[in-house]
Amino acid sequence: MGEVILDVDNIFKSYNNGQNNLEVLKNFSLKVIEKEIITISGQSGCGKSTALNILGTLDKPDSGTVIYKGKDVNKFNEKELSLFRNTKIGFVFQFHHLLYDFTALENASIPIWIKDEPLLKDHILNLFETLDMGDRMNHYPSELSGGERSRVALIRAIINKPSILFADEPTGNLDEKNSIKLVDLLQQINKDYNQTIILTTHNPYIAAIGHRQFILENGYLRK
Amino acid sequence: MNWEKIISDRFYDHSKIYGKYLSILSMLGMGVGCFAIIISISVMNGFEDIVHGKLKGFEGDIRIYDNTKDIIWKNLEGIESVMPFMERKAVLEKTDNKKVVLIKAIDEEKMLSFYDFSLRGSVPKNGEIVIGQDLAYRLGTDMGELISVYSPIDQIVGLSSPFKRQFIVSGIFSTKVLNYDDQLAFITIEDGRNIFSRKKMIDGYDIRAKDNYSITMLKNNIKKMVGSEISLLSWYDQNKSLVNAMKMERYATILVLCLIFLVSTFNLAMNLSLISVQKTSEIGILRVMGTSESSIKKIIMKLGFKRAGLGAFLGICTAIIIILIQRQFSIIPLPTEIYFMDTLPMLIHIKDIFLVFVISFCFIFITSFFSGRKLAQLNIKEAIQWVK
Repeated sequence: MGEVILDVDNIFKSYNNGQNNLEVLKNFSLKVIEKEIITISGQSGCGKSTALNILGTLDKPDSGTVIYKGKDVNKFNEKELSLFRNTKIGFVFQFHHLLYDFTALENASIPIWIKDEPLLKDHILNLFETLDMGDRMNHYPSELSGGERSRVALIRAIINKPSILFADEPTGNLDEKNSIKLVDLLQQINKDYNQTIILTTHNPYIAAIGHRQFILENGYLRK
Repeated sequence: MNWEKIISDRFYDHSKIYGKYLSILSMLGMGVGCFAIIISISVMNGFEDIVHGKLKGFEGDIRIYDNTKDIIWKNLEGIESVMPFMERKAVLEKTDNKKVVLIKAIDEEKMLSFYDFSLRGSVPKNGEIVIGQDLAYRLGTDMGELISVYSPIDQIVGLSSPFKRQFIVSGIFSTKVLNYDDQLAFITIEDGRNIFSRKKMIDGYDIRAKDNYSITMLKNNIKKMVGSEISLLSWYDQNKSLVNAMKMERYATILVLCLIFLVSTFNLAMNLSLISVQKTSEIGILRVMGTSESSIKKIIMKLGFKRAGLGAFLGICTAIIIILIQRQFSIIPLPTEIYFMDTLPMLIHIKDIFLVFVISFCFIFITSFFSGRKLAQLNIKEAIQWVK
């Protein structure tokens, strides 16, 4: 068994609109082991994105801890959080969120720019070739198809070789063909680069790719 | 790699297409602000320089009330020339017109080399007087005509009418500064001794300093020699209220013109807000990728400086070019009957350009900093869900 890289313990999260208190996550606990794919499925609005946002430090829980390799990420200061997001995790969203003023290559390179390290051209080219985007590197997002944009977003998320890749409904905005292609790529990345992946989806077929599969229902996470 | 600059530049290019007019406005506003301040300061500098020159030209750089014959400081380094003088209020009379003026008795041989003013006619010899242009007009006299002069304070008390001396008007001067042209007349020292019969000696000396020699230093050196009992005044001391009023006017003008900066700052703030709205989701994703708050601030500040800073730079450059052209070719004339010069005077110092640069920098910095800070503190989760 591999090393536990993310230990999520007893997370509670609720939203209050002034009148009602909506409890989204209750006693959410999860141990993420390196090199595995974890899928979390559930109906729309069940709190999958909230859980991923908390795990990925984009949101804070009401209570509970998120421990990354022995360090509580909720105790990181702003600078440590930025460094953590840049080097240890990668995100893929339902919408690609590419920067429209930058080419595919530039979009994918931004995390390296932020890291302030020299561009490893071979690594980038290899990723573009692996994801079948070698001839689209210098195109702007507006010149790419939906599937291609998603693949660029995927390259961007893993360019800094993060410990964990968070994929929040990555196929939610794609047609079936492109969805299958993207899921295949995620599996390939997991296999080729030993990339740990946590993926949320409402599609049971996609959830099936997980080495461990969870369902989020009524705020509780169960196998 | 200066990646913040790359992102800022791309956002800038994007905003040139979307929000083009607001972008031009904020650039124009800052440019106009800098241009207006530089031009205004240069015109005030120009006028100040001319007025100061006229004052110094008419009174000398330093006045010393030292009536000793053997002046010990005469050969001090920095002294160009020295003019002895006696002065007293007296009455000038031409037929029924009378006017109380200040009569200044001077060494007529040095008059033209020491004083710097426009003189029609010739310097006074004994029995002659040089009067101001406005005074001549009020008395209704002209060159070659006779006028009577008497000093009431020097009259012997009695019932007889005052003793008047007749003078021929040998010259008429014009300064167009303060009320000199209306209030002053020159005669020779010898005539002065005759009219101001109660005065036994001269009042003191006007001193002209050598070019580029510090007047303050010369004043201090003389003071060291003569001691503190003898009154010593620089041209600035003699015209303190006027010089200070001009300084105040300059500060007030800069302050008022800063309002243009303030308005252009609003434009810049609006422009950066527009970009913030357009780029919210992209800022969100940059934060997801690990961009720190300080980097987001830098990106927005670079954007603000690129836009408004360019405007400020162009404004300053345009103003400097206009000043240089005006100084070289005098393209903006002034009516000589109103002003004492025929062309708009413009003079700019490096420190003034630096001042405008600092003011514009502060305005741009404050606006960009707060816009950047607001954007950097956006909730990441909400930012990436932002739909334009």
